Amino acid sequence: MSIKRINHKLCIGCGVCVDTCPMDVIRLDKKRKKAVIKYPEDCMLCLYCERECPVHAIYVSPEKTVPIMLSWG
Amino acid sequence: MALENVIETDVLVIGGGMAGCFAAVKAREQGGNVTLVDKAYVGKSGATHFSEGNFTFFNPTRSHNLDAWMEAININSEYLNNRSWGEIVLKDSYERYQDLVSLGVRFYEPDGKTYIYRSGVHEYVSMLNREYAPALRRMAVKSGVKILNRIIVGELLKQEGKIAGAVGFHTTSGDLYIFKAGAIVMAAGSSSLKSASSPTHYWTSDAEAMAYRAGAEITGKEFMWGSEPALRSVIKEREQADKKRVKSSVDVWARFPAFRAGLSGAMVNPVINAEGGPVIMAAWEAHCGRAPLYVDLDAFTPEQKEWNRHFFERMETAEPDKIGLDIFKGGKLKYSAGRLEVAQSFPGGSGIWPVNTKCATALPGLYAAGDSCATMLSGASYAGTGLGLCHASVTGARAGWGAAEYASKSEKTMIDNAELARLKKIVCAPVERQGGFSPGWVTQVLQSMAVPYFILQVKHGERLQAALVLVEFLNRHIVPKLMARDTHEWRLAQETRNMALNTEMILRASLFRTESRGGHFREDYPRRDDPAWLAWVKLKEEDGEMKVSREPIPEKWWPDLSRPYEERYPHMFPGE
Repeated sequence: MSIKRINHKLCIGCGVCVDTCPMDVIRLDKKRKKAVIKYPEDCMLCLYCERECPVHAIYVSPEKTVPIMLSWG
Repeated sequence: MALENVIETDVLVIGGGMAGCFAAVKAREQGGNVTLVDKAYVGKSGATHFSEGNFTFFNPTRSHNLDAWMEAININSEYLNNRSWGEIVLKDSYERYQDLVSLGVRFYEPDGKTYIYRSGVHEYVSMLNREYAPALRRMAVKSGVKILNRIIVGELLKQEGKIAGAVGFHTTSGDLYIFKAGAIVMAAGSSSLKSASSPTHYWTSDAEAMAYRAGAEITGKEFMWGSEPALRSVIKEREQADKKRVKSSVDVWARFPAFRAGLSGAMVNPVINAEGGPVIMAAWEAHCGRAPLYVDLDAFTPEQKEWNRHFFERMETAEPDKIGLDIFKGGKLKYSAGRLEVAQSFPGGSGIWPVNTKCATALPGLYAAGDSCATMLSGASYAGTGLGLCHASVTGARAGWGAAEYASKSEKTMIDNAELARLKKIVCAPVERQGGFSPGWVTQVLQSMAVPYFILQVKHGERLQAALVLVEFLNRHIVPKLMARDTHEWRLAQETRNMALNTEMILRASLFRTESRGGHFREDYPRRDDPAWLAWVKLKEEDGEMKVSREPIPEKWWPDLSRPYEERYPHMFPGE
């Protein structure tokens, strides 16, 4: 819903944001050792990840748009 | 290929917030094995991390008077509070406060010593909110509690009418987890509907739903905490105007104290409607076409200003000046995020019905703690700042002791493989389906049925009935066909299923209570009805049906009915 980007030039792959997200929005790409936004539609705008990131690599926008969900397919 | 892990433990604690950590540590102190699971990450994410950190503690050496504290709670609770539990929570609170102190938890100390807030007759302190959840985790680790993160429990396993374990899975790996437990403490928080205005999306009624399906009694569902709207809209407008990013705004919008216009009586700071008139209830103003609402910055009392000054100071990241928020400047500030939505239940005010002061439930072996445990400490409303965490720590500790004692005395039950297979099938159904409905879609459909203010905030029998028909259909026809394409969606499927059940509970309890009181406002019954509704509403599954019943409050706890209504209830509902 609101998490917009993780700057991979800054991201050190520490995984703090992954542990911090209550909604399982962020996952760690183990090959690249970078955090990736995997499920943005479940971001609830708590901003924990932005707050906890030690290198300020994450930007969460205040937007509240929710994508239209499909019932199947 | 997903693995199946079998974990044997004396006590299983579900949920790793304030209540769950206290339960785990206190159970561990009794000597048995304790396993603590959380669908997020113990000590980092979840509701505890998000809370303001306020903690009430009752201490007679500070001339705290139990009767005076209780009287304040009784009035705010609109006489639906369980007074025995109120006294227990207050009396235990100082010990739990000392536990936190010994853990090294830091409190807000503007002048080098812990600041003590006053709220009416109550006093409370404020923990630094970024620090105390990790401190709880350290406490659990140190005491030898086994912590498992990212595991959502889907079903409770019963054997011969007693709790024998639980079935869950890891939301990243998809591995199944079978827990064989002597006792379970349910501390998985409260319920909300993932509404856009409140970042409490992890509260999906998991505790109540699991316990209900296993046969426990649920209460307090009709009392809703009206939205605590966020400042997001303000921030966004500001951001667009300035064309620059506003840093570190989290606590400002999320926890700004001015934005609590609950239902009757919970008004903390001065709020006015679009016409400049007073606000009794935010949703009602919207109903009458008088939204948006504003905080009247000119009307702050010196105490309110002081409170806010401290608030911004102690929430490290709050930088109100950066977003043009200066409560000392005067003027008015837009209040509503635009969608009036139902957020959650009151602390201790809805959930699993405890049958004794050890937090045992009607299901032998199942204990409840924190927001999952409906001690009805706060009755129909939120009885006082700082009671939520205080209640969580007290019930957590008691549930931990109770569960450990029960587990040590009861014989381990042999798990019946047929029953285990049945539950595994239910839990795994979403990932095994070839076709069905996506949890995201079902959640949106559910929200559109229940979240609008005119269903669960400004309630009316006809509208509740209409919503119930649809939600029932959802529960009976759509929910069993939830489908998950990956492990993340598998979690969502569990949550959606629990939220849909939660909504049916709210609707049935709301229809049943034909009066208004605290966090329950019926447009068609706008007055409190004493003594008929000096009672709690209980829900229980019987033969596949949701049965609603009335549990009268002991007469000794009734208000003095010879006093005029207006004196018993200083806060009026719209239409009274």
